[in-house]
Amino acid sequence: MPPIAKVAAEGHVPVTREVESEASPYGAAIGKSPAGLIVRFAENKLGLVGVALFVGVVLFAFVGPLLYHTDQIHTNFDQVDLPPGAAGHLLGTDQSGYDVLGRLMAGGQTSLIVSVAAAFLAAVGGSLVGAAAGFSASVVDSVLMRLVDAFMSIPQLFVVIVVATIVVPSRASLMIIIASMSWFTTARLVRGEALRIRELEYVEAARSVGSGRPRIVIRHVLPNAVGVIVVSTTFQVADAILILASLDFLGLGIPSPSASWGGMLSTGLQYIYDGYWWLIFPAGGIIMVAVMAVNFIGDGLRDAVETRLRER
Amino acid sequence: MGAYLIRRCMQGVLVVFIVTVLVFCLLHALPGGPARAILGEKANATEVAAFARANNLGRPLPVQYLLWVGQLLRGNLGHSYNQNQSVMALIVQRLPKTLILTTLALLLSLVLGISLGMLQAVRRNGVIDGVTSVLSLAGYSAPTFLTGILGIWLLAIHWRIVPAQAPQGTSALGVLEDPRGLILPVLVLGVGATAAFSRYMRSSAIENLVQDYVRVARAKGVSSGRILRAHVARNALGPIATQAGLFMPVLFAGAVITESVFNYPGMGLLFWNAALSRDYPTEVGVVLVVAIATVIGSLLADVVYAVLDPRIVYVARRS
Repeated sequence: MPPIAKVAAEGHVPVTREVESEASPYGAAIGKSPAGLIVRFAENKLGLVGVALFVGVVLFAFVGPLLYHTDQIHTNFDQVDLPPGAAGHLLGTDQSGYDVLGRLMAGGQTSLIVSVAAAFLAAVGGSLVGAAAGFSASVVDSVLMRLVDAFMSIPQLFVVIVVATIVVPSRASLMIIIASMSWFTTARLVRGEALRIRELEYVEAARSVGSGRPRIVIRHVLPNAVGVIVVSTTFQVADAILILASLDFLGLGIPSPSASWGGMLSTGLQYIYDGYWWLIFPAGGIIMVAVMAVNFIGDGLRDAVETRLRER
Repeated sequence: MGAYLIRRCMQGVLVVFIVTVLVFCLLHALPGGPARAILGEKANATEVAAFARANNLGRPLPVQYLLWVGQLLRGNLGHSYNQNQSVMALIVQRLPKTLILTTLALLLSLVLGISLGMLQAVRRNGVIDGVTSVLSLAGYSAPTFLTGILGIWLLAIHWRIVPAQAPQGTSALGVLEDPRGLILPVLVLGVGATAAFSRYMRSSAIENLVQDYVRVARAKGVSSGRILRAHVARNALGPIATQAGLFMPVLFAGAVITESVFNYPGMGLLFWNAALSRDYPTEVGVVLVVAIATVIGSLLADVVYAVLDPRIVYVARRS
């Protein structure tokens, strides 16, 4: 439920998530081989469970509709609120006659595309701002970091809601709105990395042979901060799924007939006294599974990044 | 301590300043400009022109910003044309209710989270630890509206222990008239924070349990209970205070969802209805108030941290 990435971002506080006895600061990943990271990650059981669950959700949303054909555009008032199993509807139908299982798949596509893309955009933007702040004069650095503070103290959901009422919600606009309220976590983490890396000898070497600041940032700082960026991006995906679902739940997401997990739940709430459980539990369950899967992956990746650090 | 507090306050003021600039930009990004967006589609050209004049919309942006901040400082957050009331009046009426909800949820999650986390740390890798870990992971990943719906389903419809609707009193403290109605919203809002605090407390306590000072205390024959209370808990609490401060935005965001699920008459519900009816002055006013409350919250958390752990002041001074 809480924006995990946001809480984890405060530099001086160790991360909220599981940290065993050796809590190393989130932002201290060094390393050159992504292969090593993958090997370490593969040793983490929960991480693998997360990957399996996530792949399952992706297949469900994108391959499922190829095997299980449903009409998610035209309402069908002859077949309203059917219980699971009735008339070939495995999970029943909702108040507009849409097949619930098919609708979960359709909603999953939007949810996954928007969340992953938003997290990716936020990662790119945040990394650039963070690296720039870490490598700039202290004035620019403080201005950027106070900006980050300001963004962090405005609850994300509020601004996302305000902006969602200003623009017309679509996959693209939601992607940009969510990304624009998520970049600062990554920015703060990457800045920390940049501050550390810029004091290293090889950066000095690069500088002495005449590399300019942009080149150092792109060629040296960002590749070395990649562990931190990947971990924080993963948690951002989880946050984005939740924010998107919240927007849809509040009726501020992409309007019907477009399907969304949050929207399905909000309809389910209206029928809660009628005992139509299939309008609630499947949608709620899949949101939780998706978010937990991504969190497991994030935990596993973070442990992998930190283990590599410990072994040095 | 004094210097540290003053520095933190200055930072807070700076952050609030940037927040106002951001919100001001947001106001001017409204579709069709602020006048058209606030007055609505039905307003005619004369009304729009009058509104623009009254709100100095013709003047340069920096001047407009200063005038707007001047109004804010006088407590004028604008006028809600949808509800024909000043935004300030609307918020003053609703804010206490939301504060009651969030404070109760925060207290509950702190008490539960800290105790669960300590218990897990002591019984590390045992059955209780495992079960609690799985539950807190689930609580962490469950969206507030889902826990809300499950809560209504289970506690209000199946078991009929608590009412599904929040208390509807209209006065500022009206929600306290029917405390039973508060139970479900507070529980639901507290779930995520409890999960987060327990995970944090667990790792924090485990970290402290392996420290030398604990071994020394054990060697001196201090009882386990006392070590936990007087040493481990005390040292692990500081970071929790910071976490609680960081959780303010999360709780306020959670309040929007919780209040909409339970029809709880607080600021979150006000904000949600404003968003649905495109009542921009109210939306923007709530964002400002929430942001300022968040800054104050994290400031308070830092003060508590500094009181709990005086070392933090020296660290801050040196860095």
